[in-house]
Amino acid sequence: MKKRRLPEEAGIFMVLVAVLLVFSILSPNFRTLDNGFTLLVNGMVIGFLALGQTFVLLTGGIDLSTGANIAMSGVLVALIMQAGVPWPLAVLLALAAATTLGVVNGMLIHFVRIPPFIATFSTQGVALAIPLIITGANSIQVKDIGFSWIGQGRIAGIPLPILLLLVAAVIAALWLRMTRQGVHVYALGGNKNAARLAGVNIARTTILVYAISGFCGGMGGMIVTSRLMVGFPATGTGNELFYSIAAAVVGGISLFGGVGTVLGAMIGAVLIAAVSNGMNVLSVQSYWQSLVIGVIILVGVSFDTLRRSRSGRPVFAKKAPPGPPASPQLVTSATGKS
Amino acid sequence: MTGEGLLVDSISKSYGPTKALTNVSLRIRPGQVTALIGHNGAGKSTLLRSLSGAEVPDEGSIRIDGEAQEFHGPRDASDAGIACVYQELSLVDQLTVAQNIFLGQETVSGGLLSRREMNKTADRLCAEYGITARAGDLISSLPVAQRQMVEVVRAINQNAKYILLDEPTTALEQEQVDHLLGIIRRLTTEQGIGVLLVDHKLDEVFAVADHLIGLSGGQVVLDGSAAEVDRAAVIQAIVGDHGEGGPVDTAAVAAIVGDGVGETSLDDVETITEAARAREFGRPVLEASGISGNNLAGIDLTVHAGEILGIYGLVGSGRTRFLRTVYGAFPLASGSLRLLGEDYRPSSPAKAIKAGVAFLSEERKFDGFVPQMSSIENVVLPVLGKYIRAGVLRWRALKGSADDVLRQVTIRGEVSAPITSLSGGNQQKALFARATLQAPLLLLLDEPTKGVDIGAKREIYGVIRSLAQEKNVAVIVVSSEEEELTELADSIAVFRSGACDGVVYPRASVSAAQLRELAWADAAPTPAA
Repeated sequence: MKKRRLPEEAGIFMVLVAVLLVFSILSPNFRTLDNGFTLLVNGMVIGFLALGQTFVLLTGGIDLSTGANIAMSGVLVALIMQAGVPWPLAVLLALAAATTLGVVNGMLIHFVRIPPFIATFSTQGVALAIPLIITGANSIQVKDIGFSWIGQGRIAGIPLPILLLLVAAVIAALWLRMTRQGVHVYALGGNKNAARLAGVNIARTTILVYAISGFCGGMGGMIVTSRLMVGFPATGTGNELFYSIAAAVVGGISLFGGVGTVLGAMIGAVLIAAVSNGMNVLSVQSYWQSLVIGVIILVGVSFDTLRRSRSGRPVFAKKAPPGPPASPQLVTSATGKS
Repeated sequence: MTGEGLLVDSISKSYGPTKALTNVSLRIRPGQVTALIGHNGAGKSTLLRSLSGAEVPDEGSIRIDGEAQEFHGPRDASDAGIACVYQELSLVDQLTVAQNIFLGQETVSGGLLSRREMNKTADRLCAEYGITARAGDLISSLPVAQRQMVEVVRAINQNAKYILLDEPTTALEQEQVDHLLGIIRRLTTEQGIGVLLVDHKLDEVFAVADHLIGLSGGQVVLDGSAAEVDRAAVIQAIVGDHGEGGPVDTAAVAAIVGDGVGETSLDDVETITEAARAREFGRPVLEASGISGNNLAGIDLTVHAGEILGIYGLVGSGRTRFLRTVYGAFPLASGSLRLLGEDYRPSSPAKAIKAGVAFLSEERKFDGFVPQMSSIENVVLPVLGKYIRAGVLRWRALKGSADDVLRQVTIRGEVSAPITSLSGGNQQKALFARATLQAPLLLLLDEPTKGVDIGAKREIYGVIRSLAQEKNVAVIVVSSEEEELTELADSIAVFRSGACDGVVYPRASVSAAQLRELAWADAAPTPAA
């Protein structure tokens, strides 16, 4: 008798299918398996950033430093390897540095009470400058061939970055849904004051989400450097940050916090990557890409804002809204749905 | 005469399947106070929102002096001379009194703001209506009562002909209430403004209203001159549709009606000694001594297992601060707390929860629940840690437990939908379910029935009693409604300007009027023990 509600991700998934179809019809090159992998591998950096961004956005924050973190960690890992450290250890050290940047963000936001936008805006500048200062703006060659495995290796024919993101996304989705700390992320983003009184550790949760975002930025840096086998201090200054926020937002992560799922953000990331790749394949001037992505962000945020202002009206809080009845499994699945 | 005033002509409004208003007709006459009475969910808010242009009715019309009006937004209504002062004030905290009064209608000369002139007018208006704030004061520096009056003054300054006041006295103390009622009277008699007053307190209504409108289940159930309608008829009308078979809760009705502060004396007030309480109830659960700092000035208080201890005091007397200090939400500056005889210094709500303390906030929306989450998720939020196996939440068990406690408090509504889909009373009951699930030693309740209708109030009293009597929980209830405490609490303590002397009055010995007197007694003439 109860009508099952379509998952919130269904809409964006349909948009993705439509975009893929249109590009496939327009270009025979687009619909090759090879291009599919190219699209996905290019999308993986955005995907990792979007994954980290998802955690931060869910708490109602924003992380503007993730793009810069690509450059910082990507150059750091190359430098550490240049100093003779074996690549697995170098990766761990660089990821630790990237995570530290996130921890610093979280501490600035929680303890110094700097608004997330300003705090991460500032650390973005710092993180961009560090590799330039260390290297004198020169790129650092990576000699350790083993390192190329991260960005260029394949397991069972599937490029490793895709597998890495897949594993990370599955862990993240399960973690948000199935652990106490995960539920606390949603509670913090939904109502910080109520969360605190319900026993949520605000400091730990805040710092944790920025740390995760920092770690994901570091993963992006590893993939970029490994694919180029060059630590390039000027990466991450381009569209990565922009695309990652776009991916999360079109994927249904509310910029106001408390609403959204990892699945949605990942579909969003693939969508953004597809749009970007499709336009490349069709040889559209690259200047158009930012414009298109910008419009996509605007549409996504507009939907979110409208949804929020509709449900935020006090009258609706007093009367039961005529919304569709909840599905029986809503407890486990509705954490982020409004 | 027929066309005069603000006439609401058989308007209806539905939200989905819910009919909020059905064929509501009423008239607000210029120069008169029309009081609108009804329990929560009766449709008062919807009516107000329709009149102020925030909501467009599905059917019916609104006329001013015979002229049909169509409000598509608040702007239309204010252009037509209707101003609405909601409970949540719409002032800009960071601006001054004068800037707020003139907001959107600033006096300009030659393209520049005439700041001096606006300040002068604002000061004159403030003086005229007995507001002590000055034009240059920031709104954020004013107490709530003053802000409310600034908002009324703003409406006057913007030439409102009709002013709608949504429960303006809830946050006020008696003296301020009298002041506000005085202003309302002057608005009508001197300015000829028509006032619609939404109010829960019949004392206030009968003191000021010329006309009474009773609303119940979205329909007008009472419409008459205040001189002709008596209290009994009003109560009958308000609680009329609440027939769930049960008798009307006398305390809840009394809380609305008030029994008037008579000439009382504190001579016959008895107190009860700690030893006697310890005999009557269980062991002491919380012992507070000398709690000070953060506007608290020395609080001594003990509550025992199975005891419902009421705390009475005026707004600002430190009741909420005390509860929040015990809950670890405010730091404990000095003094000592003991929980079951052991030292207790909660550094955060999380620590307090772990120690077995539960708390219900006065402001549900502000810090009570997470609006995006379902009732079930809100209920389990503080106890997630108890349902973990190998680091993973056992959602099935969590949902089962939540369902159990939610069933105990009989929630009406869908518990797996966002909690905001429930009515205020049901939201509050869900938060009680949360407290029940925490199985606390000590339950701290801050105004547990605020904004809750009479039916839900009765059920909430039942939940509190069963927690104390069956689960042996020590309960502290803070309430501004004297009748709530004399009905619900086993013992009552009184807070005065941040202090409590630990003197406790057994319920039977103290009347509502005496409580008020005790709270007002500044110098605290300790009654004969």
